[in-house]
Amino acid sequence: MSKCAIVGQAIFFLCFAASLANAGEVAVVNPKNPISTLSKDELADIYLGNAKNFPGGSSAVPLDLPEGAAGRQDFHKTVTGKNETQFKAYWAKMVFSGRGVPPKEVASDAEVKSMVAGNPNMIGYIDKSAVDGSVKVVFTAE
Amino acid sequence: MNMYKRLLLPVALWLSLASLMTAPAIAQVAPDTSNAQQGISTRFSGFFSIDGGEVLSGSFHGSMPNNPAYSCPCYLADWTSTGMYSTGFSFKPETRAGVQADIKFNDQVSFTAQVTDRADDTSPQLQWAFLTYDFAPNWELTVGRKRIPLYYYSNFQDVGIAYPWVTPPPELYGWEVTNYNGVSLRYNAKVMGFRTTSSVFTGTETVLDDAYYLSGSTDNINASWKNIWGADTEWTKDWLTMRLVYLLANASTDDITTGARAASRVHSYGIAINADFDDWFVLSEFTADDRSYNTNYYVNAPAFSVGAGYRIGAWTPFLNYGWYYENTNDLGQYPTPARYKRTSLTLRYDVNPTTAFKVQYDDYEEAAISNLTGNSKVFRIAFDKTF
Repeated sequence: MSKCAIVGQAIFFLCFAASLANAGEVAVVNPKNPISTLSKDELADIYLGNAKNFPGGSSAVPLDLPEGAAGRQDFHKTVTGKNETQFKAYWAKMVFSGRGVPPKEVASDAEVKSMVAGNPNMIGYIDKSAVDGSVKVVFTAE
Repeated sequence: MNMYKRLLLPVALWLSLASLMTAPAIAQVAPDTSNAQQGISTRFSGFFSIDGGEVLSGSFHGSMPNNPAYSCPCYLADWTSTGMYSTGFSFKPETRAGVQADIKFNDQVSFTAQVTDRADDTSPQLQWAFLTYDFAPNWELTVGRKRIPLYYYSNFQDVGIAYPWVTPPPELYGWEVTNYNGVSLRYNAKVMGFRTTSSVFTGTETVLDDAYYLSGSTDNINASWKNIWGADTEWTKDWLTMRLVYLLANASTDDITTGARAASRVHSYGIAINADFDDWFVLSEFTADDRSYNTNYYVNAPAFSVGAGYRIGAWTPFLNYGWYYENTNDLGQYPTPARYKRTSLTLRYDVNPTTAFKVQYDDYEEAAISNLTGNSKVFRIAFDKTF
């Protein structure tokens, strides 16, 4: 918003509209997944490769938005506490230590939703406004 | 002044090569080759570091007494492969690359392989080749070839982007054996708010014609570690990371040229404590490598490294002090214990999250009893990339 506010008024309104649409990121799983909520730490563990399973046991496959996506920055700032450089450095250490691979990247909220809807092991994050009955919200970034 | 003129050409070459490699067309090669339709997914990744440098000045001049192939003033940057800088700018001692494949067969079984190659080495090295079996939540069993996780950076010590130096401190990193073939068991847990990961491992390794010995001998020497047993545990919470490691092994060397054999029992332990605030970070590691030889003498080698860095946007200056000090009870059998200290200053620039440039200056100083390479001052540059 601050960057938006310093440019012209017309653009300000565009930005304002965009910020309304971007209501915050929520983590979603398949409706068949027995998990009802995840804590920030549990979610971070999944995205940092420290936990390969959901609490309770079934295997967890995290999905990430591509580098540069606004939702990705917001999500990681809130959940893993890492910016892009820190996140890449962390995963370079993990991958080349043979400790696992980073979350699979998919192109958009829509793709996250369709993949999660089709696989009970998957977890992703999407904009709150994109939530529908095909997925279940287990974490809301405040 | 002459030395600076000599540095100009190689530095210019290196910069143009590096800028070529950061060009968008190459930087945007997509690494993700996952094939989600099938049950098996494969992910390829890799890294390289183009390192170059030269010794600006040194106290010892002439060929190394035990191997005339190396001329001094010189600086031994990488012990494992005897990566030695001398006067005259060279990319050979430390330039390296690696490729890795991670193959996931199903939710529980995966395979990891990594091959690295070094400019100072003739053949590629297999660093990783192991199967992972996630047999229960938070538990992981691996079988195959791995790095010996003796130090904090051992597992990824070739991956330049992952640390602030050009390469990790030689006071600690770089023994005659760096891998093992065997089994390991890992357990991840939350303890008192710390994320913890702990492992036990066991295995053996033999290195034929070990390049580690080249600085001290022209003989062909095979090295082996048998009955390697070790454990490590790493604890992370907010800004703090702590790691402990302990290792036992039966080490032996066979000098094929002379027929001489030596055997020792290795006890090694180490502690690393890292603190990472938003701007400031401190990296520290202390280790001791104790060897008891079957001819009734021992060599104890305590070593430490401590460094501090400060992030200013994409720039990270980092100051490091390293120290290595061998003790022995028998100067007759072990006449020249290695003893040295080193101060380095590195400036790192992050082009993007997978690309970095570094410039480093090292001031290396030996104790009087030690005569490895003599004192030296070294200038190095590095271009690090992961893909």
